[in-house]
Amino acid sequence: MTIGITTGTVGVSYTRSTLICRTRSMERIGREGLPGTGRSTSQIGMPVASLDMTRRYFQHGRGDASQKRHVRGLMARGVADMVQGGDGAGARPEFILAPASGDLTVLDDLIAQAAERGAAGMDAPLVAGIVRWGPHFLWRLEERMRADERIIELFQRGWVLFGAWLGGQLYTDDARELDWRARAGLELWRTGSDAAAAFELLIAQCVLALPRGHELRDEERARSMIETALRRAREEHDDLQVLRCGRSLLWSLHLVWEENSQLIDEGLAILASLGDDAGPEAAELAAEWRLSAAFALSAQGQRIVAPARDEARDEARALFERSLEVYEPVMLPQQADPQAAIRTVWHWGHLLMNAGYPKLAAETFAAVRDLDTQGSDLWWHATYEEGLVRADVGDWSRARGLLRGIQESLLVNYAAWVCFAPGAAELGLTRLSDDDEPSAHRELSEGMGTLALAEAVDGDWAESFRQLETTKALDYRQRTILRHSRRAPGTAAARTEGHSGFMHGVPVIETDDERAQLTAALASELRGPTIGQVARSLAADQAVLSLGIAQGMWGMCVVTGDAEQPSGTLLRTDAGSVSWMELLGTQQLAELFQGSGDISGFDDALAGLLAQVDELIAAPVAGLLRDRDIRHLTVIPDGWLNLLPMAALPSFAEVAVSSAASARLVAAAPQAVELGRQALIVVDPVGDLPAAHAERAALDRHGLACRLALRSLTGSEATASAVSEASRGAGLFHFAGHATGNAMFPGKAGFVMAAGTPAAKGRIWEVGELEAEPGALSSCALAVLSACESGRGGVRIDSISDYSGLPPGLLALGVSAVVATLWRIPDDLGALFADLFYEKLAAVETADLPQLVHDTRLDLRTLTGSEGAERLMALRAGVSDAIARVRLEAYARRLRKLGARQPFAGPASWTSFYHTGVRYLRLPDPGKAS
Amino acid sequence: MTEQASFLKPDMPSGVHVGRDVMLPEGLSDELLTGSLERVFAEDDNLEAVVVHWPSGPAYVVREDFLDTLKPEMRSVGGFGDADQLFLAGKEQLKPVKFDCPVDGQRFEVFFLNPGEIRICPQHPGVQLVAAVDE
Repeated sequence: MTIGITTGTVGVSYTRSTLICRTRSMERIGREGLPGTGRSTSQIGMPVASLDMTRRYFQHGRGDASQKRHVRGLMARGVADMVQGGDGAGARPEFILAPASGDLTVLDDLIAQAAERGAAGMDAPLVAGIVRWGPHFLWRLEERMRADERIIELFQRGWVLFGAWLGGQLYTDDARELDWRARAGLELWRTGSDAAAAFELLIAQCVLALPRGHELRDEERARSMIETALRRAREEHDDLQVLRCGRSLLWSLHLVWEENSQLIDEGLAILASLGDDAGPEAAELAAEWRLSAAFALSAQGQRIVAPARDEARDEARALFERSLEVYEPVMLPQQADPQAAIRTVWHWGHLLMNAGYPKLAAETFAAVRDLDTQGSDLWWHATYEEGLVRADVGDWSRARGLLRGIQESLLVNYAAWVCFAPGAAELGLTRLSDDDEPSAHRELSEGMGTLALAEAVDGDWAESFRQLETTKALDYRQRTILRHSRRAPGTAAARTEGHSGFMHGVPVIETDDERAQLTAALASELRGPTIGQVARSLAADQAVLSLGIAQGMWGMCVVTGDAEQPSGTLLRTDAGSVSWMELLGTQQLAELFQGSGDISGFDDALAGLLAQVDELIAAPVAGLLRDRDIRHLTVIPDGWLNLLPMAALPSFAEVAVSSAASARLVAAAPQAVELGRQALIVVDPVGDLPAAHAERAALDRHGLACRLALRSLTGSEATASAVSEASRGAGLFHFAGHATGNAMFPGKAGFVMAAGTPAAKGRIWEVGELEAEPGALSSCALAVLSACESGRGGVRIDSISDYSGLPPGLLALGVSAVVATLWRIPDDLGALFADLFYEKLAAVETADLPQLVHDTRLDLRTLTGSEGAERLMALRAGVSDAIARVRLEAYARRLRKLGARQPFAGPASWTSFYHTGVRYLRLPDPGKAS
Repeated sequence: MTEQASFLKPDMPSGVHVGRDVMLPEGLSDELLTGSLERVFAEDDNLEAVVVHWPSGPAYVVREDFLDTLKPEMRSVGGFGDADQLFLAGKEQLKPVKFDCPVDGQRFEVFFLNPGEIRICPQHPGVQLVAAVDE
């Protein structure tokens, strides 16, 4: 089941053309006066007849395609003029730079031009004025109207065009337009005038169309605006407006379900009262409302099903059935627009799929493919969805055929999004927010993942491996791609097409040549490596295990350095996406991953999980590893498996296990790197982890001060900016402090650094901020993150296999290897890990990092209480901070009481640490560091 | 509640040397009580025990008993609200003010002293402690 699908579809709402304005509001203008004036039309001598054009437009605008095209064309030209600064006016609207308080002659010139041209030619100058000055232009029109009756017509037309701009679709691929439009709308909204009230819904939609992270994207405010518009519509008994507002709120899916449910009941009652003769606008609105309501019902059903609570399944089933009932009437009428009819069928397919009728859904999507032109938006989507659903029902052969046909476009669409995502360049993003991901991300991951297993079913593991690897580490690769310079949006002719354009207005390169160039340029970055490429990069004692999960199946491919027979493969049908999710989703494990208390209570649950996973993953390949004398295995997890300590699987006990985001990273990494002489140690930035001081002492105690120039930033010294600055040129980065790894929002993962202000002790230095620091950690060969959850990746319900959080962030900055933790660790455990790790590191000239981490883990596991106490007291001798000393004494005393017992033998303690990145680290010669 | 802290003993422990006198107000939170004593013990590795002078009477704290209550912190930010202390303003840097008894010169380490507040010697009723000259 493709759980994320409804969310993807929901994005349609704000980019589809919605030339909506409130007829009733315009009538009210006629009745009560002009916006902002408080005067009636008669008071200013405005003939009511002049409102007719406006009424006609709004009453028939939604059904009048030529009118819509006309206005869109006007706006597109106006916006393009402004973007290009064709007339020297610059590339930003004047109302942002200097609201019309300054020189008004330019405005008046445009008004004069419009007046001169009359009805036939007034639009172009009006558009130019509106996009540059927003409502200020209209207010100027209003002022001029008092003196010149001819302006009344311009004024009316101006409001029409302004409404069309606010409510229209994207007129350019330049994301700045979204910004301008929202600013223009908010400029009006702030006046609190009647006009502001009339356009409130459209302005809210403009705000919601802004990219996440935009300073004006205030979802709370937008929702509040829609709710205000809804209240007003109810008071005025404006049923169609109630439906419009309700549709916007239902699309947003942000409301609590009770509110959604009330909106749906209210909307259904309105639809029942409208009858069949309500006119084309009402009919179209009704269809759109039904779609919103049906997907809201469906999404709520998915939410209930997601936690897999048996008792909720009936409730979910009822919601799914209701979603079909609500949408079914849209299927019945004969629609004049064939494309709209096909789209209706396509939505029906989605609802069937969500409702748990995969075979019917597959047939529905097949019908859409038959009906629509090959290569069109809907054809593409139907092919994709049908491919997934066919795999869902076990028809892997047809799934393979369908997905093979679109695999190239999966790559192109994703690449186009990464390179040309609205706002990415303008906002200077080095990574895109998880919330901004369009379906292209999920589609590449899910489509290629499914195709990979379909190929495996067919026995073609070479293709399977490559496709599976294409789905890996998309988040990581997105970061690296965004770091490269790329063509500025707008330099290539762009249009909204392909599935991305249809769904989200993402521009896609237009011409075949450009498309080919883009594909070629990014193919090497996005395409997974071949088995042969990976095999050639591996040493004789090295192997890579790549895991893939899709639908009801999962597969593994082990690649070794053996040139003759590089790979071993396994395809299993005993656990699919849902089974893995359920296995990892037990409440106790969730507490281990997310809670904040003592970890030893999770040993039993974790041991049980590891035994089950061992049976599925490690035991089947242990023989192969043994036969080929594999000493180092890099596991490339899939989806939720990145939460698991693969190194702790019993059948891997004799192998040093690392993690990697993709085999491509393994193949591209050098076998060894030099450790520079500078070392930066960050110690307890917030001042509440006294044992962190012992980790600096560990480096001294084992003689690393003779080989490295150690620099510490301790306590309040360790601000983000100080660490960033000091990290330039550091070969070793050791962090001993608090960290957070946010599984649901991995972009929020970060270190807790000293705040550097009296207003707070600490602040989270998020991975995104860190990545944006130029030069930070660029020379770092090894980062040891002795902190909680420092290696936690993301968990995605849509099964995208991404490697996110701090380690990939550091790797993207240029760090060669990272040692990090999967979940929280206590203060004393961090100090002991560091002591054991640096003891081993100091003893060698070239460190085999996976082996070093493996050995350290085992040492921790078998460390007795007495030995631990001895180590802590030895570290204490090198610590000067008084509080740290007394704490270390206390921790040592607790351990000493345990005597020969092994306090860290439970898997929750010793399995948290793992290695990723380069294998060998060459240390500097002793005695040369200052 | 501080009265229930396991390391607070009502009687002078035998076989240990009580090296410091600490004055604390009643009603301290566990964190502040622990933080104060941690500071006192941290300053002297050989300090075996201290006497805490509450307004209501003395209590004794042996180093080992106190250390046994110090558990390792987690290096996590935790769930919502768990780690507010990481991001709040200010920093706990508890430091005692040293006072002497003018009668016999006994040294007291006073935590949480309000400006202008007077402390009376627990051994000599009515005698005000005076700020130590070596402070």
